[in-house]
Amino acid sequence: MPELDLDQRLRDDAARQPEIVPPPLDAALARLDVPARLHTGRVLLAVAACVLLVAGLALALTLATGGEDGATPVGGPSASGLPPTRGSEVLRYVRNTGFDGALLVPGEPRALDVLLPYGTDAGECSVFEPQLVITQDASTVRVRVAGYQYLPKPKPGQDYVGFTCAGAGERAVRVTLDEPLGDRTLRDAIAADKRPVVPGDPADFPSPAHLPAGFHVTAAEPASAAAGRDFASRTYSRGDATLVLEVGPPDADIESPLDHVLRHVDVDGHRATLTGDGSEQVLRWSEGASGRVRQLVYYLGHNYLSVDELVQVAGSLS
Amino acid sequence: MAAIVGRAPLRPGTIEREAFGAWVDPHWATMAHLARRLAPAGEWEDVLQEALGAAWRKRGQYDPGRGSPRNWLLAVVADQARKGHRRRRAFDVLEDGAVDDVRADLDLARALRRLTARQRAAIELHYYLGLPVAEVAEVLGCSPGTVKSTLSDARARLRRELGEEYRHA
Repeated sequence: MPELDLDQRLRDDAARQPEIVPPPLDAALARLDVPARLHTGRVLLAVAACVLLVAGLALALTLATGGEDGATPVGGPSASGLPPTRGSEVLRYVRNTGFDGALLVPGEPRALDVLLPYGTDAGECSVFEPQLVITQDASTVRVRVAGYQYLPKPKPGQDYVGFTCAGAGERAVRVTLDEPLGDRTLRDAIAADKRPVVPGDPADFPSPAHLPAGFHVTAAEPASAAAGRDFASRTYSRGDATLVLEVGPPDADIESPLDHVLRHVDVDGHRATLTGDGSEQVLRWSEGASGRVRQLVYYLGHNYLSVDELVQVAGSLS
Repeated sequence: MAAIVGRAPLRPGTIEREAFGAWVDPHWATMAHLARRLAPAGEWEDVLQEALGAAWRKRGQYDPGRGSPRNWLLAVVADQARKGHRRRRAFDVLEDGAVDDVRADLDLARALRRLTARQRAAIELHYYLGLPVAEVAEVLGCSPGTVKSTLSDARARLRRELGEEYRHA
């Protein structure tokens, strides 16, 4: 295989990015007094624009298909649940890709939440239609993500040119194995990085011995190098107030030069910094020898927690 | 804008806002570009709006001695994108989903997503916005040496993820 220049590939990819048409600045300025809806959940995911990677300009995707109609491609797995056509387009097997990580499911030993990249179709590009393919034996469980795409039929002699959305999100798809994963190795059948994937166990995350009354755990995520996630986190909610406890390596995340320091406090003998604004407060400190960073993020609800209460929660982390 | 940035008026009025808008305007498209590259899927316009609001509220913190207005505004965008990802982690609930509801990336986009937040920001600023290392350092609030090592780590990670025989530049 010839050597490829990563610098050049990045620059080429940057040059292919489409012009971004920002919303009118005047309208955005007029909205400054309106509370912004930063997090709008999956509804927005379904309708909003994707990050566009115009891959096809440089990468004509000669699709590995054998059937004339492309619905049952040679070499591709069956695309169960996907209709063979959509309007004038036909479903084509394009390529395989990998997954971002996995989570064990408490109380369901045969279940696994596989974390997949998630993108949306803004109408300016085609998207992959992934299908999970699981193969398993006594020692290994392999997961492959087979990608499909709805594309117009090419004219004779033409190749397909793929314009593919690259979403920045992630979602979990639950799969049921033949038997519990147990000591078997989980592998990404496609990713270039051949190291086994270690699924996260939600029971392994740091948890506080003390929580203000009414808070209950609502989510837990492992740190995942594969997904570019620095912190393991556990989330608690009470009404519209949310507490996120995170722990990660010393160089994790971006230190914002813009955070407004409210005060410094002592957390279990460590100097912690409390930053925040009108919607959230972040209590951040480093553990002594390991240097690992812990932070407690508090999204303010109507039932305000005092700084003393936050420090009490932080100090009780296991 | 010197009359605007550097102090925080008690009651920002229309004139103040117009001056702020004129200050932001030359950099608005660049801010949008970075928001689109760094924000969670489908949220870049929200992140951009949040960044504008944060810049408005924090405009008194801008210090011309520490960098250009553009780089300060890009730092605000990067900060809001980071917070957007954190909020998504906090508020999204894992749920079963039909397999045909999910989407996959091409290799490079997927590999970029696997970088840490700092590595991703450095790559985006340097390669996709074309900022030199010194200006990336201004945006990230660190030294140029740290940016160089961050970019080096990021490229090493990308090479591993892409699994192709990329030449070490």
